[in-house]
Amino acid sequence: MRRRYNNGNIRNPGDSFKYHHVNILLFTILSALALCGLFCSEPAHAGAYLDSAHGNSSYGVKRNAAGFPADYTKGLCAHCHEQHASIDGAEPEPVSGPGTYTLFYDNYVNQTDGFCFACHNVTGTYQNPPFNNYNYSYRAGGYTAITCPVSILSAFSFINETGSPVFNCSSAVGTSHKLTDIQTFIAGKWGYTADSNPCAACHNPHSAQRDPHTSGSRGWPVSLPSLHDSQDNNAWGLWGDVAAERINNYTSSYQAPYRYNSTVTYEPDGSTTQDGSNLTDYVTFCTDCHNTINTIYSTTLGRNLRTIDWNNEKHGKGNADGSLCGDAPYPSGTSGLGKVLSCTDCHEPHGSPNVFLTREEVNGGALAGSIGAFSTTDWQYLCDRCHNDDQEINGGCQADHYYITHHSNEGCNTDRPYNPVGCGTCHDSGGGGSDCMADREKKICTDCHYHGSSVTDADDTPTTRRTF
Amino acid sequence: MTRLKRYIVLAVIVMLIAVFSAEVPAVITGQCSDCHTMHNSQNGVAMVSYVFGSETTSAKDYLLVGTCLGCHAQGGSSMVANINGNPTPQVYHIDATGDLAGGNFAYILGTKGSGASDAKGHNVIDFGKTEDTLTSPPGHHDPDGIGVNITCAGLTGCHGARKSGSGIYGSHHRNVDGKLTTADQPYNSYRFLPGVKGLEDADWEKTKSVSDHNEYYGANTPMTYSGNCNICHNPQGIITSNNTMSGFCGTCHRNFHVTDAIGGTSSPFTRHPTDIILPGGGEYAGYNGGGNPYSLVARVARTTVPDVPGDTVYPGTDVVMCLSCHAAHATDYPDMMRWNYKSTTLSTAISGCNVCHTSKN
Repeated sequence: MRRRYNNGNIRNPGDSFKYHHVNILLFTILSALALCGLFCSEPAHAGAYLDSAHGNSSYGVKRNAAGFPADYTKGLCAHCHEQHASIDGAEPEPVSGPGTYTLFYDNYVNQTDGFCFACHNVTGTYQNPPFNNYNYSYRAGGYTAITCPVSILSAFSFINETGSPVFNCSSAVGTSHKLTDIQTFIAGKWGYTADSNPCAACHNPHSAQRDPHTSGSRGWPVSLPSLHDSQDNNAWGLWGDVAAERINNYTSSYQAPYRYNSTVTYEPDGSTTQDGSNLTDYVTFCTDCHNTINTIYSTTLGRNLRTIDWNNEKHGKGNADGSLCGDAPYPSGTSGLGKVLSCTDCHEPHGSPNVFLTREEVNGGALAGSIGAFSTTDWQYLCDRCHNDDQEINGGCQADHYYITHHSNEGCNTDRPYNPVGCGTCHDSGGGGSDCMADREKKICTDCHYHGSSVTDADDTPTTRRTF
Repeated sequence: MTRLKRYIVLAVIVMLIAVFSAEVPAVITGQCSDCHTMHNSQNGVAMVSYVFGSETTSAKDYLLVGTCLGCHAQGGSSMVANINGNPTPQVYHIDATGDLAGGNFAYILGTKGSGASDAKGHNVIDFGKTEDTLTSPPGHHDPDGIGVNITCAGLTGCHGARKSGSGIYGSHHRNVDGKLTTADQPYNSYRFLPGVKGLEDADWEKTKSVSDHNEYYGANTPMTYSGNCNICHNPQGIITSNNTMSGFCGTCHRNFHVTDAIGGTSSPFTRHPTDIILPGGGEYAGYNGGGNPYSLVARVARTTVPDVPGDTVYPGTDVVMCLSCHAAHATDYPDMMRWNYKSTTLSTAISGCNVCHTSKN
């Protein structure tokens, strides 16, 4: 019997075929959407503040002070801001009167006193629970033996308001970023005012993240000063939090230094990544201020800071002249030259027991001694972390000397700048032959090599090369 | 029926619906005895019948048959009660559908909401639950002369003339509704708040939406005290001299308002400013999301009292005020906040802040 098709209810075979394909198409689309919902979707993303260290629901701001409500949830604005300079009719501790930006304490007082230090301090901190902020050598370098400075306040306490050294962390020669100088420098720039907290030159308090410096668990603590926007937390976003703001975008020649006591893992997170794709572009960050244009007065030094031209300096994008005797993982010989360093490879951001905020640990190892002045042979402790000394090049020579690099073409060194003649021109005392065992007085590295030094700055016979 | 007739009938129906469906408050009308009694006695029975709690039915001032709370705090299930045919706004009720614009004192007593707490509102002494934490209005000068003896009206109240022996007297009879821009007497001031300008929502926000709400008057600069008592004190009593809602709050909470105590007229402020223009740039430009719809959580005031409620906020023009964060009477949240600032979920706790501070979420 011939089947009777009802156009309204039953499709003819041709239609059925079409509908079958439509169904398949719909099923495919819906399935794809469902699977995308499972696998393609971005994780739920909080705003900048809720993603920040201060706004973190686990370790965010939590004020513990007499008169302050204990039941305010962690990360709440009121832990830092008192909307009416009082709560429940009275001002909680610290009782200091109304603070600018409705902060519970004076926004900034001096080098070691200000709002940020009310919490970023171990002794007397208002944060509950108290916490430590170790320096970069500890956190990125992995040198966990140095537990002083233990806090941000401690890191800034190597000098006082006048810029004079203060005995701290067993050092009487340490240095810190001079906060009042920073405040003076940024006032009137990039939306900052004379009321701005100098810490906010580098950190957006509503965005800055904790960085565990662990592979797979990273945070991004700094914001580029020149992008500062006083009215928009998002406009002044973090720096380094996206791939385009990592140092491998500044240069393809970055070589990460070793992590402490390791030759297989690298800064800043102990991973095997070496190209800087996991490191904030600190060159762009630091040279926002420390560049060839800005004049920055240093109370500590009593003069303007030297300018930095990282696009040309040898530790920047400028190349070694002909050869280099580098300690691994840096190249040695005549090939692979042109590595570019990050500022943080040598400098602490906040403070250090050494002068010029020089790190205590560099390229996988601790400096053999402290560096307490600009003009001292102790700079060898830093240089030696990456540059072969004589003994490393030639076992028959002295350690901690750089005769070969400057006077002898042997081994990895093929571009000595000085013939070993007329020793007394540069070396004032001592004697012996013109070889690597001579006991001539050692030159001070910083006689010739420092940020901003020019080819004619060598204090004896000038060279024709860049000296930094 | 012709088509024309059908249109006429339809138009009439629409007009009738419009006229009778809305609760339109107006000057008190009707029988005098609805509100007054000559002898407080009728057949030996006291005629004072609208009282609250332990208030007695003894004769009242101005021959009234009730008290403020007796009429406006009946504790019933509706936020607008019908008293002798007059829709009467309730400041104390258990209506589960919401609260009127000023909030609900029931949160303080715990008869509604998450539990009793002094911190949830202004502790009007007539409710019988006095303030246990504060000893005076925070931010007031000291001595303040108020203590915690806050009343609905009168010298230590908010509504009506704020001087001895006056209060709300006569205001109901002369009440001016809607847009109030004169504000030189309580009756022609916003909600009988002396000196305050604004646009009163017809049903006190029983119904409310982005385009159905009160409008508050604000200024682009707070008052400055600088030793000048006259910013609040004048022969007519305590009256804010700048006619704003925030200025009115400042008559008790002075240091939370005046330029002398908030750090001036521009950032950085030392206290959260009021009667300051919401900045037009930065994160504030994104007030409450795209298109800047009016937020009932973080409200703004206008520098010109509008004719009708606005559904849009204009950063750069509109004004931050006390009622941006707080309700006037009480809320279910500590400090009379409009949102749960004490939520254990941080995103909820700062949700109201984020209406203006859009990039700090």
